[in-house]
Amino acid sequence: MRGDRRCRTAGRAGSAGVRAAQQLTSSRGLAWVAFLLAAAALLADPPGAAPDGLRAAVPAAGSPALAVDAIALARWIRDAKPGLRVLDIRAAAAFEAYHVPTARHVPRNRLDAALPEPGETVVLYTDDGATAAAAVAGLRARGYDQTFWLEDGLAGWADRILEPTLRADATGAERAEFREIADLARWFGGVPRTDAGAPANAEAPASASARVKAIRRGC
Amino acid sequence: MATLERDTGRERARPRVAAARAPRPYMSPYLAGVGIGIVLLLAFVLMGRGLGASGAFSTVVSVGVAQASPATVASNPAFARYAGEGVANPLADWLLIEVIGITLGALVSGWLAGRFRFATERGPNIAVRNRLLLAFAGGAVMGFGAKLARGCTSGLALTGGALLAPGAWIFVATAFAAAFAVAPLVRRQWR
Amino acid sequence: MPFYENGVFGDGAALALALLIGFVFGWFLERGGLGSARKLAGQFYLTDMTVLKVMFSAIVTAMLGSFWLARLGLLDLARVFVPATYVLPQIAGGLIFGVGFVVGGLCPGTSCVAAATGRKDGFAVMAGMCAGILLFGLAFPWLETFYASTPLGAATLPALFGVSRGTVVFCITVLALAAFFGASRLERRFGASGA
Repeated sequence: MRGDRRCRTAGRAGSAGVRAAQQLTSSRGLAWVAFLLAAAALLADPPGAAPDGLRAAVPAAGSPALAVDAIALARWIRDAKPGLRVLDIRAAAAFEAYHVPTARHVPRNRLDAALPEPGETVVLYTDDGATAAAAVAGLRARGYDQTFWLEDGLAGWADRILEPTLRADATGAERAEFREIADLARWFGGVPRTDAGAPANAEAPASASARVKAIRRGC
Repeated sequence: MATLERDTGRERARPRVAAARAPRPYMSPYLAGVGIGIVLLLAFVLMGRGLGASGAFSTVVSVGVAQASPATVASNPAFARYAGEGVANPLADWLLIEVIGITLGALVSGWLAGRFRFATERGPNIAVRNRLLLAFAGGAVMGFGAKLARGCTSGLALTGGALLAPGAWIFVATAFAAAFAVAPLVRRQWR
Repeated sequence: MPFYENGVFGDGAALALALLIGFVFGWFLERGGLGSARKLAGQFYLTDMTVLKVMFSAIVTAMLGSFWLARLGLLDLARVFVPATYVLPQIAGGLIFGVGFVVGGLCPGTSCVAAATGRKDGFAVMAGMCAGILLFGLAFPWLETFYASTPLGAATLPALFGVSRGTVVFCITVLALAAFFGASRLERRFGASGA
């Protein structure tokens, strides 16, 4: 790798320190540093250790057991479940635009100031649910067991509570269930709809009041 | 109509005609890479996220589409995701500011190193116009691919690669494979 | 750490950091010569292996750095955003991206670097990117199902293969070093003839 060594202007007949630094930052030096750090990593976290143990168990797509679906949450709120705290962990502007009734706003990076007390049930939500799931996993890993995330986030809330849609081909049991959901929806100011003739797998767009956009952490 | 060929930088800089300042040789790619790796690590430590580039372009496009046709943005998740709060204030978008930073950093570095020049990089046997058309076409294909893969070399390959995301390594492998495969077809723009 | 995630500073400072982080990123990209489409394209003719060297040096540096900061308890890896894996879309997207990359000679980040140093082809690639993104958006209704297929979430290689993080870090480092060694030899072989 000689050709890749960094050009140095002449005249720096350096002390041993400068020379050592030069050696270390030469390609060969860097390669050795990298190899030694990697070998040490192998020793520090050997093949037999827990898979990805350093990255405390974050469920890949959000464990369902930690999720509460929109309808269950709606029932909890309507029935004033004792100790229930609903936290909106999105940006303030999004919270102002629309939030689940009774929710409090806590930005995601200030959750440490709003940790659950014993006996409380805390439900976190975001626009799509994924970020809330990660936050809940983090809290659970620290021992806060009564924390849940809202499945499918506000998008699911908009679909299932604000604009629940009864499919045209619903069975009798589904219609009976829908009556309760429709009551729940109206309690929250939602508008139950019946879907005459639309195909069963059509995506119902959320209403303008609940237009949601996922928090962007990626690129 | 002089063609502007760039030396690969591995040799020392050749004397260049009509350069206000002789361009300095490039930094060792390993050192530059380590520098970038340190910046990436800083992003992890300070922000809990990595770098990116294509997302900033998505924001610009989505904001543009929102100006032209708000209905399109409202009904299309591909645009809505990037136009969200950014419609009100695109400058509140982290990636967009980061990309502006990239441009400034490159500008200052290039200027100080004497490498700033209004030019079109191309080989001796292709016209400027054709090279620019190829560049545009390449960019369009890349934009499409980056959206599909949910990232580009900075956001997915570098960030995901360092964080050991399988998708990042899949992306690097397939991108390199495709590039190697197609390279012979566009060789004439450099020869 | 990560400081922002722990509420150490707010959104204004985060944006200022974005500018600073981007600045240093752009600085090193330009210093390494990645603003030159000719240099980047040279990777795929085996005459100039700069792309491989810079990319993998960066990945290995950040990978080793994040491993050790985590191992020393200084960085909570669970709070660092890991790009999601979607197997099929990323295979397809990668292939398509690779084609665009070699045709244009610049990637999204380096097109900004090229434009910043006055290269018109940098501007052309940036404009093309916008066009491609627009096209993707307009075609999204037809692509939506494929786009969302085969998700693995925030998966990581160690978790996926059931091995320790240290194992994966070691393997990737060794592979990268081997690649650097091979790259130099290829450059010596093909680089002299030059593109």
